[in-house]
Amino acid sequence: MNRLRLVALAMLAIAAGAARADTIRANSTTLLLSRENAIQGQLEHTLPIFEIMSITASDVSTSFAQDVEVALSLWGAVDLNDVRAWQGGSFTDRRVSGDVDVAYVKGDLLDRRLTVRVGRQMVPDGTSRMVHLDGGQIRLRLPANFGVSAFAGSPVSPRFGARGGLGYGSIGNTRANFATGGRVFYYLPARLEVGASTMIANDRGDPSRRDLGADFRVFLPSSLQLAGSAFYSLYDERLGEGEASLSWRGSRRLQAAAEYRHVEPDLFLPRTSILSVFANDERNEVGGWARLEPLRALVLDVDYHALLEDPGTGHRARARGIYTLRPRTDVGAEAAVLVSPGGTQLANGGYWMARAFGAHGRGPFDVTVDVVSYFLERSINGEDLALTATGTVGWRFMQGFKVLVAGTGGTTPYLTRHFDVLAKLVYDQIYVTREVR
Amino acid sequence: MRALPIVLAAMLAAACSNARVQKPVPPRTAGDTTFPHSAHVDLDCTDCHSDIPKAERLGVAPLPTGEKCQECHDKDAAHTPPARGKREYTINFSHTNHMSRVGKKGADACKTCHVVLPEPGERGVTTPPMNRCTACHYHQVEVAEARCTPCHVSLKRYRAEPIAQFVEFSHTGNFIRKDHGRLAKNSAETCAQCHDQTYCATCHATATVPLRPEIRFPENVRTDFIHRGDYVSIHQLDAARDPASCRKCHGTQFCESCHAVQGLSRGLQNDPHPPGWLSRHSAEARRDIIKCSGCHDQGAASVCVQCHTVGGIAGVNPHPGGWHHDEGDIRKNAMCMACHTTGRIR
Repeated sequence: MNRLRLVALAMLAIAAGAARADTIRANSTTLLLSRENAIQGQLEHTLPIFEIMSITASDVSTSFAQDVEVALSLWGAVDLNDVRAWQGGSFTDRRVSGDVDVAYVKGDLLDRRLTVRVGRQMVPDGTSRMVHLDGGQIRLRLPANFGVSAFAGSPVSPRFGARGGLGYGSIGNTRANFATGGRVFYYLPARLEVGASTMIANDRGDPSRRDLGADFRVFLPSSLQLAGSAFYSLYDERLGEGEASLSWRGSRRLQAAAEYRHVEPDLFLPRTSILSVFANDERNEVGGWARLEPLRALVLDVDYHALLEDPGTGHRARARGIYTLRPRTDVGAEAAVLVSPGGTQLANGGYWMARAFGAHGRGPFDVTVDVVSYFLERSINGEDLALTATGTVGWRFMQGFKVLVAGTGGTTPYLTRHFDVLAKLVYDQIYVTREVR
Repeated sequence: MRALPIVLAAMLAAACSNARVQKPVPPRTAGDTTFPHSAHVDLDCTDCHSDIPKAERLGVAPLPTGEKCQECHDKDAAHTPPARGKREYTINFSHTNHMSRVGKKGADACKTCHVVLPEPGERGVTTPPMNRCTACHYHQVEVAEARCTPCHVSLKRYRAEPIAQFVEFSHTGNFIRKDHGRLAKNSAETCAQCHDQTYCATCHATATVPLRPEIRFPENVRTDFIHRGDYVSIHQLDAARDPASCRKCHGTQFCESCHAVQGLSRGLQNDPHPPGWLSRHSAEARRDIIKCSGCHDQGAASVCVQCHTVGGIAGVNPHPGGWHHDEGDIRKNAMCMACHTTGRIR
């Protein structure tokens, strides 16, 4: 197997040698973060320095495929002070850490009818739930507007660690060491899109997911659009989630949508979880959102959903407005509320959120301010307010380069006073090799 | 697999050779031409551009050659247009389809889009801008969803920045929180017009990313991030409201690892359960098992198994009504065997 991998990789490398990319996007972020965390009541002060890089060569010309794309995104970090106890779900006891987010080669074959992607990637199609995996994906466009896509691979674990099972294998959304699936679809341009999909995931031989999905989008007259999706668990023979929305985009100044969603949350647990055998809760949401532009410079977004659950009816609402004073200068405010439908004894209650923010840009400089506050219905550690304020100053000092310093201070139920500082140097550049109109 | 990033880096290095920093690609300017259109207004456009009415793609109708000029003019240097290199286009456009539908004839049909014609020595944009397209095709839905195909072949060379005339490109409203996921289920190719997966990974590579985007991009105050401010103070409330939404990105270990660091699981140094929990826990678990999984999902080592194993002290069937798996399922599944150790239902 190792020999096979080496041969495959060597072939890819040789093939790349003759290739020339049309567009290359390179991004490098060097980031220093001073941050305080409360770990069991003790203050942990971390000072990691990150180097986050991504580079994508697109529209690569090769003799064997069209529109080849090679993408690589990875990072490394060194803890200069306390070692971070927790990094997005993975533990580490070393000062040096790093990982690969994305690493793939993609290309079109058969006169762009077949797209192949190999490597570390994400799969958004159908009911795959944006699974992050090391493997391959193909998409085949068939005659008469039909098509099919399929994927297979091993769901990603941090640091290329053990796949599946408890621990690293369940930090992402799929606890499995092998996942496969696909989607068949049909579309009529500007009229209809409809697809059926499946997702099968195995965790060391045991079923983790056995789902069938469906999705559709219908473009109706009068700028109406009806869209929906659902998945059905073949293993438990129940509907896991179904949602539908009717949206209207008839005017640039007013857009709106009505939405309904049914969800059975326990079906989002892997079927290999011991806890997946205890529950069959059902929840429903109904509501909608609207986007208004009463003035040319003012945009308002509002959203409301009623939460229909067994203990009662809850409410979730949000409103946000942004007023643009001039290009690169705007102010905004946001408010949100969650009224719990009753909930459980743990994590009961709701909260209010209020936020104010602003951004101002002049010449090469950009300044932002962002104040976020949460008012908790039930206090934590005797506190019912979490208030944080962040200010940033950015300077674009030459084409593609930006330096930014940010400070965040505030008080929370876990830290009576805290102050974080972030400094980053960003290089973001697009290179071209040919002139294309 | 460890060699994969190195090989990819080598491939990238090869593919990226010969690259140069992008400058904004200017539309074709009048200075590119040697042909005085203003001196030929008596002619119909297609008298010279005779292949245009049949052109179903850009680039397939060659510009008029010297032979065309010499139908009226002498054969001399002044009437011999210079050779022009082959151009590549990233727009799909059929003159055939459009000329037959604009409802005009001759030069008037062309002027519907080609308002300004190039003149020698004059600088200025003459390529019809995008608003000539949108004068007839509003494309509101397409623009709102960044559905740029099939007109644009690739937009990778352009920075993903809002376009003033198309405010919907900013992906406002519920786009980041909800709509983009819905659209990606059936239209991932559309997203890929502008965004490669290194962009998606910034948020969606939850098992590997170094920082959540709210920390990495504090300057993006307009972006509708989900976990703003001190989100840790309210995460349990959002999770109780919509646990499935959390699970679409985060697995058990994501929750459990932090809870373990904080002493909320595996030892109960900071027992979060209220008094009298034992008598109420079954109803709570029925209602929100995902919350339980944030601390108690250790497979056969889970605290649940200790009491609920077949023959255990709980003495009750913990499965919800309608549970239907038989002994065949049990014996095929290691998780079932954690409690049904003999492979039997009872």
